[in-house]
Amino acid sequence: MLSVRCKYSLMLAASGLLLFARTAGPAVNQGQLNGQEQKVIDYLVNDWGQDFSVTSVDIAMTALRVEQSDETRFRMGSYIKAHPELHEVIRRWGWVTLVLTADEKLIARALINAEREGKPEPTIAEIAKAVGVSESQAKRGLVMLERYEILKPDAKTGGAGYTVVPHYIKWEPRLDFVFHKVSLDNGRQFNTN
Amino acid sequence: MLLVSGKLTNEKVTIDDSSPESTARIRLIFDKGKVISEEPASTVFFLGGG
Repeated sequence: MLSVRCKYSLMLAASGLLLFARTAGPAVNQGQLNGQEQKVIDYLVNDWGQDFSVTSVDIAMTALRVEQSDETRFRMGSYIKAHPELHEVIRRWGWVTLVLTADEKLIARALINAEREGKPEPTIAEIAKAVGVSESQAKRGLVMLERYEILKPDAKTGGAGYTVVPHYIKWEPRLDFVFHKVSLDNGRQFNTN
Repeated sequence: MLLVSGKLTNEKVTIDDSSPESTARIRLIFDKGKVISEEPASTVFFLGGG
């Protein structure tokens, strides 16, 4: 028969395990994808590396005719960011290359180039004009870059109201946030490195 | 470029790219390994290797 003290010890140990399980749980659950999202990831893992492919999430979604939204792209992008073990291409080229759209990369570059060159931060209208998108698309792109922690809101900067996280200012100038999208007549699209 | 002049040499290939120094978009169209269209016209690209 267990003593009261021993019972408490066991209960404490069990609650410790539960706490551990509950702490570890959300990190795993956060990365869980629905069936369609998993299909996109499977497509990418199979595509990456073929013909120098570094195909991005948006192109894979188009190929699979999966309805796109910033939210679903962000979920899959976050999954790729959190799972570099999925494929060598993620480790070699970085998650940023694979999860951002071409527009988002250009929006990031508009801010990064301005900051690197000591120019005033561009306004949303200036970013939209430079990248060739609408102001609404530019705003959405900025929000996405903030969610990926590439930009952070900073009202003091003027302009669009964001600063670039220092890591990305120092990150491979002229080689960062690039894309090379290949489209073939048969409809196949992919990014190359 | 390796793909355009190699595996995809018999295909029509469109490449959407950008200037690494700015936010300018570039579109090149190749047919059977040769450039048939470049936008903007001022695009400078190098075919090399080997």
